[in-house]
Amino acid sequence: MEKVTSIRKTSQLVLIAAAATDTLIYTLSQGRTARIKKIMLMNNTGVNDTVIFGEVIAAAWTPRMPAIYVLTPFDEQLHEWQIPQYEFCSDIYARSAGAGVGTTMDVLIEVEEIG
Amino acid sequence: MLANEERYYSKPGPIAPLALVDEWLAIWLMTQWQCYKVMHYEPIPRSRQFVFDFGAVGAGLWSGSISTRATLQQRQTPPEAMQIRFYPLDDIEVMFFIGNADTRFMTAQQTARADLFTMQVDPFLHSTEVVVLTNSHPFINVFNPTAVALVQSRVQFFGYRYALDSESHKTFSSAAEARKVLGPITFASSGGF
Repeated sequence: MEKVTSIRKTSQLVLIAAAATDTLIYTLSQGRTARIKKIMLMNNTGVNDTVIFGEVIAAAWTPRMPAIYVLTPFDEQLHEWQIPQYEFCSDIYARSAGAGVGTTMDVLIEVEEIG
Repeated sequence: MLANEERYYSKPGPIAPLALVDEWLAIWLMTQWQCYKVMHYEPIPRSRQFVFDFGAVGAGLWSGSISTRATLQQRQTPPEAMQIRFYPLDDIEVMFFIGNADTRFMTAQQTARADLFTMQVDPFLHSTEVVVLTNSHPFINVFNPTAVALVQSRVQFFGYRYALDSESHKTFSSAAEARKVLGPITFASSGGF
């Protein structure tokens, strides 16, 4: 991989509590971009669910990764070697198909911020 | 190494003393070269005691200018100089001032700040080297570029401390003049240009 200056950071633990809704997972620091290095998901929705990571460009949902299928009631973990290194130039959002209030999809990601 | 070798400010690579005992050191401050003979020097190694925590900083906010006196205060007698390099331990951008207003590392348009990436391109941190003459009161202003509030903003300092011979103090407005009168001498900028 090309040599860039970068640091690893994590998102907050985000509980997605609304289906098909752009939910902020990670806010980029000023002047930086980011690549997702690890993804941890826990499916509390009660149904088999999908999670899509993307950006919100000019108020429009823009998926950047294919859906990740998460069986109920299991967790799912993806690591750097499994994740194409798409470079996010704005805040990272996610959508869950089946999440709801009290039946959340829990998300934590680790990113490499480039600056 | 040659005796009385003429050294210049902040050589690339690991930190090394600017001047040895009984050598001349010229520090640019208050628009003059302040020249002293070095009486004694010692290193200040990287250590927990030289970490300064500038406190909590909100997301996208500055800490405001804070005196580094609690860590870096020098003696007045004999006069002292410090040659320090620094780097942040937290995800912050560090702006360095000599006094409360004289920013270091600036062009006409911009002021550079040391951040977590600085050490990645400059592992020895030579680009952060500053020289501080007796209590010219370094201040630091810390910026939090992240989207979350930071509960601490720590900066690590290390380098050398010099005790200077106050009797030897001379000032010159040009380096050529100082070299002509004093002979081999190391010129180091502190601030005020």
